[in-house]
Amino acid sequence: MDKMILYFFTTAALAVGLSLVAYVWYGVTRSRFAGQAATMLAGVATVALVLHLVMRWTVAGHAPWSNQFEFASAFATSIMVGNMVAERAYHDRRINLFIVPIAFLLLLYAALLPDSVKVAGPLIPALQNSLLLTIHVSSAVMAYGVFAISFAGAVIYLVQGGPRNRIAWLPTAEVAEDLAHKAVMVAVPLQALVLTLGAWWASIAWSRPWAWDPKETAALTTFLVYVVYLHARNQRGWRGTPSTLILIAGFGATLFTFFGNYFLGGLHTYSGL
Amino acid sequence: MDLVQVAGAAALAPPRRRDVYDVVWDLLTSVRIAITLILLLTATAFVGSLLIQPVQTVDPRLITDPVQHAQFLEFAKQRYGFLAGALAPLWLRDATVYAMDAVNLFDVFNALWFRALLVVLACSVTMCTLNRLEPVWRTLRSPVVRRSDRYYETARLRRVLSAVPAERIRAVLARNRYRLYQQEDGAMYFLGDRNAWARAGTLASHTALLLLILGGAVGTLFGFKEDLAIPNGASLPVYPVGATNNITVRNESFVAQFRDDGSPADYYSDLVLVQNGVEVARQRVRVNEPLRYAGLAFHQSSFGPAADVEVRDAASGRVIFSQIVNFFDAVQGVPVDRETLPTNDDLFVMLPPRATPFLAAQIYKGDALQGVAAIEIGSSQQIGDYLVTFRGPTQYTVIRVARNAGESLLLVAAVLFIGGVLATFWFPRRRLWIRADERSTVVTGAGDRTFDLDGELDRLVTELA
Repeated sequence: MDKMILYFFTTAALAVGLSLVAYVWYGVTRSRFAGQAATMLAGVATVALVLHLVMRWTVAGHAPWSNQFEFASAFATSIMVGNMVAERAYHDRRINLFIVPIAFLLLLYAALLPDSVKVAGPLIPALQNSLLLTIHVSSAVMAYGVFAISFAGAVIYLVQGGPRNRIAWLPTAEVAEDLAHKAVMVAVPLQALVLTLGAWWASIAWSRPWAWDPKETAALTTFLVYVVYLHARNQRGWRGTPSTLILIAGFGATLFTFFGNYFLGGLHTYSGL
Repeated sequence: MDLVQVAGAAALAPPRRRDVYDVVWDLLTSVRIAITLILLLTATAFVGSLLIQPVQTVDPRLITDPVQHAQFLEFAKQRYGFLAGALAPLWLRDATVYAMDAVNLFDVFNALWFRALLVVLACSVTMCTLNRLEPVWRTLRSPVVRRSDRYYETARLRRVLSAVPAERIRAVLARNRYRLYQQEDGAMYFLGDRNAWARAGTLASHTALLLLILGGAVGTLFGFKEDLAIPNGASLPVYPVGATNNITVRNESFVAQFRDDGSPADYYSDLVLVQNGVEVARQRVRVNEPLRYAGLAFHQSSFGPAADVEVRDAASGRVIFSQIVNFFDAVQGVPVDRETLPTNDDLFVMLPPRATPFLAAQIYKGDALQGVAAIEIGSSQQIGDYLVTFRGPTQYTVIRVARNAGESLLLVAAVLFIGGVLATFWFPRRRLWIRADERSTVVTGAGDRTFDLDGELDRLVTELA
């Protein structure tokens, strides 16, 4: 069964890679066939990723996001789902060109992790809380995935040089900014939910809702960066490039929180990975 | 003539001098200042998650105990000295770490300046919110149904149609869930207001921040926390602040199960609470299943090895020490402990990890070693003037007793914040001002920044036409 699960993971990673090639092909040639192939491959990848998580869940008997490998896979799944939503909402596949590479890099990172964490395994006692593991971490998976979408929008905006729209074959800065802002509008309440459920869980398992554990502090930092963005975006002098740069910092904070297990220490580091 | 003179005099009068209250008011109601404060908070949180914070992650004594703090600073010099620059001389590297320590960077979340920052931010958010409350309240309580004639001619977003019957306007606005106000004054004037309630969203999300800070303060001031290391079969009292009756916790048995790879599979303590000699609660306590009683929660925190040890005076045979020794420290993985006997001599014990454990014991008189012995389970050995018995290995469980004050405030804050943000973002307020007469119908409006009013006007015009 473990082999079967990894087979789905590999299939998904390959499909994401191929869809990326197709999106690039579409971006360059605007070929209808390339566009449809990209969408189809992204769809296959998303389905395979979801099935991979479902199988892990079934085998391990707990939500499949209890180590770096599982979280990275779930993070990539969330981005690919967001990718499909963005494609349907904006009808512009050139946007996806900036979203899919993030998912691909995450899957590459997951693939390079040691084999020991790739096998669905039992939980350590601190994580043995089925309800909260499921909802606290899944909120984080979704929030991070949507933050990645906002990052993609911010990158397009900056590449376009803002309203100057330097590159004709890319989506306009206005569309990119709208995408980035809408994504933040979805992800900020989700991140608030992550912090709230985390505090609730910490109150049960660690005896206090908040204790400035490095990982929880990093998650709060991420949240605050996006709060700053939401306020700055409406201020004269901050609109446009400055507030978009905050989005780049925000995704930096998201990745810092995610990879923090390597260097932050504290109670969220379970067996290093 | 008089009127003109008075008006002229008023215009020429020097503006009222801004006093210190005006300056403070402007600072506190400035959104830019609020943003700057949140940025400072963000930066602090970032630094706090990067630098080791011993109070949170290692041991508070590394900050509070002068000797341990000095040792921690030596460690910090090795670890953070590089921040002075790769080529910086040693004294500068040391000075950098001392400076970081002086501004509490190794305990930022308890630093006075950090708390002050939170208080100022709370004031700023309160003032910014109050400052916006009045105009929002006004548009909710006294909606302007008819705007100036000029507005209908010059509004940035407007659509002009041929005459539309008032009935149809009312029907379309109702169908699109606008709250309708109307007024007749030569022409028919309509105001359609949708999601006006969502304006409370901003108020809710900002109140949430205040409640969070307040909840944190209440928790810090009125919370209670105590760690009890209880050997198997032993009891310890709990003294919660303000409790009228003391409670005793008994650890009936602690069990830890490990997997083949050495990782813990499960660990739990069977706890019994006794109050005034009566058993009041009993539960198997796991990390995720604390025992709750009388506002207190008893959490499974950690565990460690212990040994049941008896010490007799070798000459008289009198028992002078008989208790379970908890090994809180370890040297190179070997649990160690030092106990002072009633005679003021020291008993130093180690529990080397072996399939059949034995106790390595030493007796010190001051700094002078009196003797060493390896004692098997159930046997005794004489060391110096003492007969030391190792009755057997056991374990202690660490139970954290906590009362978290202010948690309900945090929950209310979370609900208010998420609800407030969802209302603000996903239920944007939009208002339509419509003037209809026999010749034409003008549709204009205003909406929140997140709302596509242009698209909405297009849709409505199609429905109206």
